[in-house]
Amino acid sequence: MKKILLFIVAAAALMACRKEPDMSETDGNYFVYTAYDTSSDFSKYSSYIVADSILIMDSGRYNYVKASESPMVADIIRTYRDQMNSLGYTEAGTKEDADLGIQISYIEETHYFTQIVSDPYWWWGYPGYWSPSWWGGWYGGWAPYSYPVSYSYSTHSYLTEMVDLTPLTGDAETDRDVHLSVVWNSYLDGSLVSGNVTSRLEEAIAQSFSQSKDVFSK
Amino acid sequence: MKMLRNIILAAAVLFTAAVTADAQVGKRWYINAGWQFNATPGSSYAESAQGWGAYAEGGYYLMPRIAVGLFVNYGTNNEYFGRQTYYFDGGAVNTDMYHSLFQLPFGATFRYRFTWTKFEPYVEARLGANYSDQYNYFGSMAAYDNNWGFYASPEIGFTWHPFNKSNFGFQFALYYSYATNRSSAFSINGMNNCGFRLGLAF
Repeated sequence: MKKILLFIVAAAALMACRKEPDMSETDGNYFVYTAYDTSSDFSKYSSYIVADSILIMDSGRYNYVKASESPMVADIIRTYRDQMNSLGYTEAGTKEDADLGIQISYIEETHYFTQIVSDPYWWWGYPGYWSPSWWGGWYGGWAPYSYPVSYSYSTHSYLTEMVDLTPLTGDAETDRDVHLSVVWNSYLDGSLVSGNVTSRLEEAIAQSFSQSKDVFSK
Repeated sequence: MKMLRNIILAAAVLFTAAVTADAQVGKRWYINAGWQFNATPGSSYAESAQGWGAYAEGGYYLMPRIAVGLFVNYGTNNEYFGRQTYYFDGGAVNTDMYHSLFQLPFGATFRYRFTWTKFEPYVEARLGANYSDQYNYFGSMAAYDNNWGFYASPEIGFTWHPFNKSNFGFQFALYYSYATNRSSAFSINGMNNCGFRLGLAF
């Protein structure tokens, strides 16, 4: 009887096992998520500027790496510029002349938990993220998301936001109180990316714009 | 004619003797456990046939042929979906993914065995509850839902006890099951399963 009980316990322990799929069998490309502010009128934007740096987030350490310091960063920024140009937007020479500001972040390794749920303020409280002062105002007020997604690790991923800069006046004192909105964002999850990472990243950036074409053509 | 009658009589005597010699009255309780291979035909969520499961059950013969008992089993069915773009209000996602369907039904069994010899074919009905969760795995994330439903399953099979004076043996069974689990997030409305079980009998 004792052996039988042991057998039952062993069987019960086995039952606790759920067979998770082998994610190495996926196609090795980026997961591309995009969202936009449904209340924004995208037809009012005609110019843009991409920040000259990428924010690198690595387990609580945050560094801005300029395009002039890294060929990889320069390539990524160039890819965004190419995409915006192909959509018909004009690149502005300065932040003050741009309607849209694009900021890119790279998550090297992080353990912070982020949720994409119906909470419109999911970035708030995320430590060390892009300083609101980068564009001259402060931003928040995300569009609500409807897709039930959650994740806890975002290693080797890119976060890109498009900020509406049109409320800025160019006067630093006045702009301090201006509320800037993020009108479009993308999340490129590279945790399962294999092979030629650079070309796959460029494809993912192109895909993020491709799946938002209806938004930008408004 | 007389010879034919004698042959039939002799055959009947021999058959009775053989059955008596082979009889395995044994214990009134039984325990079965082992491996489960499950298919989810027609499932729009995860249609596959995979052996990522196991089962256990035990029962007690209230009468020589009729037993009642308890069961629990589990299984996972995974299906790969190639890269697509999924649009939703306010955004889009481009990814390939795995759908993973986990089921864990448990409840009561009602078994009828046709003989109680070394070879015991039986039919069984299972009724109970089915816990299920569903994961869409993509990248480092997963979309998740879980639900409960009623569970019903007919089963045919046999246990084979090859050793004298021992309840130890082997089991093979074929089953079909239906559970009423629903998920609005993943458009699931009921779960059909069929498969087989291969295990040990005590």
